Amino acid sequence: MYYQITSAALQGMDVRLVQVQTDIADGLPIFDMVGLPGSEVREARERVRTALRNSGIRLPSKRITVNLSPADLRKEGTAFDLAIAASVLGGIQAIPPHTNDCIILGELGLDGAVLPVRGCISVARMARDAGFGRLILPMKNAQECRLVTDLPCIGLRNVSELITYLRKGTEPEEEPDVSEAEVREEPDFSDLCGLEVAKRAAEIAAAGRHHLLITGPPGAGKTMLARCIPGILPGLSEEEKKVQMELKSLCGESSRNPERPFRHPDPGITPGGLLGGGKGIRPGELALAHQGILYLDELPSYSSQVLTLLRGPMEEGRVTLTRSGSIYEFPADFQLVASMNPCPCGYYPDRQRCQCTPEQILRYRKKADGAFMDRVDLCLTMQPMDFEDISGRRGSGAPSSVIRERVRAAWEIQKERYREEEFHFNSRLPHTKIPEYCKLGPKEEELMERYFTRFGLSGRGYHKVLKTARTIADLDGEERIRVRHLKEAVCYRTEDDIPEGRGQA
Amino acid sequence: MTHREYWFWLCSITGIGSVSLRALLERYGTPEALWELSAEEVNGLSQLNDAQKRAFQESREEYAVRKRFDRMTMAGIEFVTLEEENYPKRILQLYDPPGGLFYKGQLPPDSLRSTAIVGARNCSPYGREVSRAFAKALAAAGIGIVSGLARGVDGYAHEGALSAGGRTYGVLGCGVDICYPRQNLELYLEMQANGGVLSEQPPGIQPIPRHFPMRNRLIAALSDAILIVEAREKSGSLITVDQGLELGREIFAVPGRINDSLSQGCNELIRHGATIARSPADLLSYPTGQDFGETEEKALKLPLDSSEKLVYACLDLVPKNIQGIVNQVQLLPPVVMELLDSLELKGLIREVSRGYYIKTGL
Repeated sequence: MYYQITSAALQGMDVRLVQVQTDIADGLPIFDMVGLPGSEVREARERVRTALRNSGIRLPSKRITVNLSPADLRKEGTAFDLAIAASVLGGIQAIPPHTNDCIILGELGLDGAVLPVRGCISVARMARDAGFGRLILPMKNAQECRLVTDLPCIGLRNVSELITYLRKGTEPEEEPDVSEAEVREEPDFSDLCGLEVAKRAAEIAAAGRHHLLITGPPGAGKTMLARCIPGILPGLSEEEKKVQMELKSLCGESSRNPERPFRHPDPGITPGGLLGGGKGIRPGELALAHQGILYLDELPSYSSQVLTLLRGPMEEGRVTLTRSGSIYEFPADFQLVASMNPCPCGYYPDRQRCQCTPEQILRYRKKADGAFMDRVDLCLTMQPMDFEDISGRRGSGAPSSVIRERVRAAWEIQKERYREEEFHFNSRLPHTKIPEYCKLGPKEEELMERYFTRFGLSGRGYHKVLKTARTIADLDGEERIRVRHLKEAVCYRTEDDIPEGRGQA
Repeated sequence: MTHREYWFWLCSITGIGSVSLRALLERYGTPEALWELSAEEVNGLSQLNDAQKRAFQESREEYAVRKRFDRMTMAGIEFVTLEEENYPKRILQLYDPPGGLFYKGQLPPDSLRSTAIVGARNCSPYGREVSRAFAKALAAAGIGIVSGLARGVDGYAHEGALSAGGRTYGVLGCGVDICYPRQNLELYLEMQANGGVLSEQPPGIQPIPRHFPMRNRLIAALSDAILIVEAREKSGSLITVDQGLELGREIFAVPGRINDSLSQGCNELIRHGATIARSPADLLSYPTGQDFGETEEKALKLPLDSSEKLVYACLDLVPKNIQGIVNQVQLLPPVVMELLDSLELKGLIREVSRGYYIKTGL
């Protein structure tokens, strides 16, 4: 008897349909799996056989062949277990023929339990788009999928429930969703005393989603400041939350009410960890930071190989991987926040503590310099915290909620301004569009000319100042960029800072 | 070989310095006489140790010596012996003047009043500004600036002198064909057209630690006065000062903050009697019998409004972070940034490194 069940294979974020075909024939009893099964899929044979037996189904002594079609697509992972079981059940006529409008996924335990798999949200998305009628999957995954789609999701706990459902159509009893929404404990801006300049830079960075570099000695508060930034970003929209849940699901994690990600990868991270890949092509740190913040603490401690890899995604807003001729894409529209010391000992330009030579300083800074620094618009230099800051005697300023409102207002302005465009934030303005959106009046142009000469700005540096000024003007509620916006923007420029270079004549 | 070539040979023997040279010449009179010595006579020399005797023997190859001399001349390097007219007379005051000097550009003329400026290699931005400003003012008043082309105060002094269109001379601890440190290459080149670089080390000799105290005595000797800008308590620049004191040079020291370790050496010197240098005028108006005129005082002619004054008042020569300024003046960051821009435009302040500002001038 021939029976076919539809399942799905993950390719990065894309999903491809896999037909699980079973044929039962006379001959020596054998259970054969074909169709380029990977090692886990080959092991499915044992799991399926045992799970079925423990659910009361004995396989006949016949020749059972299972093919996973298309046969030239490599199949990985354990998600096919349930579909294989269903297909075999169909082949031995333990379940009636069915309409092929459902997709089945799930891993099996030897006791017949149906266990959660990764990537079900991507499958649900594809199933909906392709017009499938329902999804049969593990209970925990079904709970998750119901949050992102209105596609009927049948959640199963074990093989017996599968058989009951497929024979009689009775859906198993609903289990209450006891997963808790993740709650991130974020420091509030008002937890930091003083630091007005740093907070202002963070606000500008958040408002225009500009990439930000924070320089300062150890203990200046760089990491504390970076951790506060997610708190001033507006919340995710429903659509954006679905993307976050999908990305999390691809990693095998479930997320009930996702917030903007704050990813802080370890300095030892490998290119694979950053970009993604590995078995099953999982998303890497960059994709997991999509719509949120990627924080790199102590930039020179990351390998230069890894830092070079940032450039492409920062420019494209996505990660593209090529594996065996196939291309996999993940969204990776993140905001980079990086911190570093001004010199190897960390205390430059305080010559009381810093004995670093200019060559040492330049060499140290060169390590963090790379093509990706071209995309960093803002540079903030912090000083060591003084007693007034630490003791809390200096005022604490506005709480994050107040700043978030200002950032949200700026985001609204940009959304409106760029509604016809492919980009949505000032930081992402391509240089061809800068004259259009960052028009300058004569006084402003004169000032920029002075800055161009005075600071030796490159073309890119010049544009960065304009983009920053555009965001400052938006925060100020001003349609036109004014002189005062430029004066502030130029203080955050990222042009080469040569320690003890030759001064002007 | 010519007489000068014989001198050149004698001055280029590795391991034989000015003291041994002087002893040898006192005994034998001329370089030619030394060249003519037989092998046994060389071995019998009491003025040299064994290693020096070996070097002496090995160096006596006429072809090699003349070839090196020619190569030196072709490279534009000049050589002067202490017998010659244009050998700087001030150096003869030393107990152990070099037998010969190698130089590119010019030697400091005997008639040119000179001041040596020395100080820390790892100087602070304060030291940098002071070195430049003093050198500039003194050079503008026609004084030659002598230093060692080292990183830090030396380099900034040369820079300051050049910026005033003055003359500056660098005494090196290596051959004059080698620019050490590499980062001062521009200065090294520019100085040859506006002064010169000189050394007692022959061309090709690398800078090694032993050479630097030796060259410091030449810096002290070439100057009429020595200005020390920043020095820690146990600094190498103090050796130059000791040499200067032995030669009877006037010592000036720039004071610094009492808790600043970089100024301990200078402040100590002042306590022990060095003349305090608070501005170039302190050096120019020093009673040496010559009046070089007043330097222009940088008067604050441009009017500042009250907020600008507020920001300007909290800056000095020690770099201040913008947050530090905000803390002091209690104004919002964008407002402070506007004021800093306006002060910078008026030439009153400068950003020395990202986010750090100082007052310019003195």
